[in-house]
Amino acid sequence: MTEFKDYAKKYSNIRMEREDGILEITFHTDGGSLVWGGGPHAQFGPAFYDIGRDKENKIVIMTGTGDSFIEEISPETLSERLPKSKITPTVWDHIYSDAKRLIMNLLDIEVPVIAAVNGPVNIHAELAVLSDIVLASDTAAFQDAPHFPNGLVPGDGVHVIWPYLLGRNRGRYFLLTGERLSAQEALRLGVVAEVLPKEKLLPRARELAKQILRQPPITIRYARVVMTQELKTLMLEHLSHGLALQGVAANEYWPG
Amino acid sequence: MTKFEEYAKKYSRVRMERDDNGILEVTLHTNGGTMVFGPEAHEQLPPAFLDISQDPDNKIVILTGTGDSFIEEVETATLKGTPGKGSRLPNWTKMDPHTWDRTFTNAKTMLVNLLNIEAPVIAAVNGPVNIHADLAVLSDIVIAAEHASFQDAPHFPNGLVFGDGCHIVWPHLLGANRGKYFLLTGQKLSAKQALDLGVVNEVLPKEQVLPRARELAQQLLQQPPLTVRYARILMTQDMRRMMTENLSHGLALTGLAANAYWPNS
Repeated sequence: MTEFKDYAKKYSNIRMEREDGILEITFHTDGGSLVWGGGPHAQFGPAFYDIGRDKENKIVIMTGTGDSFIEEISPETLSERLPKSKITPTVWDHIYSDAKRLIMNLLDIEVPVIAAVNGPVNIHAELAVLSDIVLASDTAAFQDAPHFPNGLVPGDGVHVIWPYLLGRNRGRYFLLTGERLSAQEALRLGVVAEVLPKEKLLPRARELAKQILRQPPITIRYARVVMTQELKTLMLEHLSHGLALQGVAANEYWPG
Repeated sequence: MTKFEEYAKKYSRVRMERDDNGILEVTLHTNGGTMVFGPEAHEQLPPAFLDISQDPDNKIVILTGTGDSFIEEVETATLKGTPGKGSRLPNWTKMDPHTWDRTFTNAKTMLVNLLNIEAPVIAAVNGPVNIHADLAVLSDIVIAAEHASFQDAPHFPNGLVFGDGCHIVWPHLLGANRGKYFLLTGQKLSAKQALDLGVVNEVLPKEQVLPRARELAQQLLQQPPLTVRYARILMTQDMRRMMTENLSHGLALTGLAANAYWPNS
């Protein structure tokens, strides 16, 4: 079994703190808002795996840093994994592996996950909205910017999660048009459960975590297993296919 | 990414050797002899398969046992149970949900981690297997010794529900009705029968099993690396989906029934 000290400080883009079994994971880049890039892309899958394997984690709160959850991409760090010029199948193979692990390992965490979305997220917003409970700051917004609006196939799991959450047609519209949903709209559409002033977000997440933890441990864990079952099946069916087509299309066209 | 030297010697029940071509031989054993199944094997196999799956330098995997049988006995020193027909869990007077939870976790990850290995797996079944025969027959190519046989002894014939993946693997491989009969009656399939039923691809004299597995491994490796890996991913897709759909459910019912009846109590 994995112990907290083995992985708590292992990932430079994820701060982990645990108290009474409540694990808070905070995405960041050098202490500020997370800038998406090669580091996070490679780190998140293994980090979620470590979290899932440690039975001392009783519940997970996922949040970002500063005023946004994830809103920026660093082309420089991304190009460690993705050269700017041309995508070859061998290069894509890294993305394919990372991207599969990212989603599957997150869903394989067998304790409830609460997202505290501290601000706008337009890159990998699915990480937040895949959570069992999604709380959002009133400044938050949700968008899928890096794929279709950027010339790429939305095949890394966003094609599964957004039609699943928003309904088929709303989800496809969201992906194809680059629609940006405000926190209030996301609340109305059922993607977000509560919208709060930013400073009340984490306290509310912690309050909910404690409320959930009043139930017996196995009940909590198995509740999560049951709640993620359908999505895991959907991801298994569609994730590899989506990434394969995204990869083929990326061989033909790559932005920048 | 995991490196070979980090996990090659990590598991006392799993010997790992890899050649320069990336052919990894995984040999199940207990103190160098035939693997006697027990808590250590049950705890070690899931992370061992995970380590293998995370190392892209493993291009192909050969899975085999030691001596005259693949897995045919359970540990009787630490476990109560009749060899070949016993339980693999200690002699608790009664199963309880907390104890079951540990089994649940190991059992859920064992086959899934095995299937997540993104390199073709060739089983060299060196002899009879009646405990976790699923490990062998889930492989992409199954070669068996002439004296090998296949059975699911620890579950239904032993009073337990076969919900740890056996309920998925056997009806899938044998056909729905043959599979259910196999599980419910404790049927023992000879290597020849398994060949006729399509579970096994080749039956050979024991001393030729491993050389043939190596020959096939080299043959597969003549194709480009991504082709080999992606072929494996496609070939396991169906089974991985079925495991995701049915494994947790099967283990839940196995656990419930085990709380009501446990072989040693």
